[in-house]
Amino acid sequence: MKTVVSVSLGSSRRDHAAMLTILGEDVQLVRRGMDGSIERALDTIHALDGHVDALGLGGVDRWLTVGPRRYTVPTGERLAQAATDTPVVDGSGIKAVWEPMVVQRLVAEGIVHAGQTALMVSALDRYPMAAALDTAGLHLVCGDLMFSARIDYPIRTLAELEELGQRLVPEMVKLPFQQLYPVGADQDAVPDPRFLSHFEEADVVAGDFHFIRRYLPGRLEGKVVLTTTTTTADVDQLWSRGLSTLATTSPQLDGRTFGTNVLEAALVAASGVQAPDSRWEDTVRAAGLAPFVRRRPAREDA
Amino acid sequence: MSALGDTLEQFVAACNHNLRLQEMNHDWDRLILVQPDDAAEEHWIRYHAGVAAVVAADGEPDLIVEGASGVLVSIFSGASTPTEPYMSGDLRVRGSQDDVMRLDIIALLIWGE
Repeated sequence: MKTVVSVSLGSSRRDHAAMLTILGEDVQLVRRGMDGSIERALDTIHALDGHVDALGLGGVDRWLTVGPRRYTVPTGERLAQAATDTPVVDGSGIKAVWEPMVVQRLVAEGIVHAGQTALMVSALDRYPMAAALDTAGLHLVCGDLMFSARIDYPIRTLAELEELGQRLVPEMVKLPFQQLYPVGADQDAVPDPRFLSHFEEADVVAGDFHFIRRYLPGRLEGKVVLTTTTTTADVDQLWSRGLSTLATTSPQLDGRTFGTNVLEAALVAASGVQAPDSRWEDTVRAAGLAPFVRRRPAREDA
Repeated sequence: MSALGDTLEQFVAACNHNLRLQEMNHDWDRLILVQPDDAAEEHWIRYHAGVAAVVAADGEPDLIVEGASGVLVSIFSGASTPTEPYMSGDLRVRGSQDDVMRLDIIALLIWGE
């Protein structure tokens, strides 16, 4: 059996463990939240290095890939460098290869379609998903400035996203990560009603669940949420607001869906192949992954 | 006018020349005090309805930007980016975290890459 641990800067209240069989290997998945402490995360990675099969970084990216450019995130890089024996992944390999395939499947199954509006709460950390939605003919609204900087300016094209990324990302990644992304107790905060109109405009709300949850509107009737890293309580909250369809890019295990870093760590542990190895895409395809898609439960319609 | 005063006039003109910034800041109503710590001068900028203006002292500032004159001129002229001096303490910005970040973004969008 393989073991992977996701060391997350997020809240320890979301810690859990589960088993996954992937590529014929049983993999134990463990998530450990560091409540926003980078020092604790460094210590934990040091302690686990060489003792587990792969490590995931949660709540922080090591790299942001926006179009043809890749930007290194210093905090993520520092955490990744803390391990010298065990491979460390941040989910970018899953985001690059698997998440666009999920969008294609949702289109093929008629769950999302051309002409709809897709609010990507954060597209700079999920450019391939944004590009896949754009290619599928959805109208993109990227909320990076809204949800990371509270600036009410929707980015409506990939070209503008790339241009803004080029101007802002190299500097923004130098800021403390918690200024840009909800970590620690912020992950449990009461939703903020700002930017409601952009949620109302959207048929599809996609991207990081912590951003979605932080600004979650009261009503979600008729909408599709495409995300990951949800708990049973998160999903109940979505149904109670009238959500029509929930799709997650990672499988549901014991009522939870794991982050992309956990899924990538499991694949790396099971296969020994790590992005950007040329075999990575084939490894992802061979894994037989499937998105978790659930329509609104009938009891909620009563 | 001082070098910093000239620089801020150019900064404000560049803000107002940038249509995207006008749209981004349409709902941002803030009074900003720029205060060098090595010269007896102060400068005020009001951002209102997407338009920036250098103004006379006008009440309690929402944001206070402090540092050596040279650092302030360098940042507001685009000769250097604000993030590193801010992180090192050479540039001190007091205000809400969101406002500090917005000012950072404004500078980056005006002066580019």
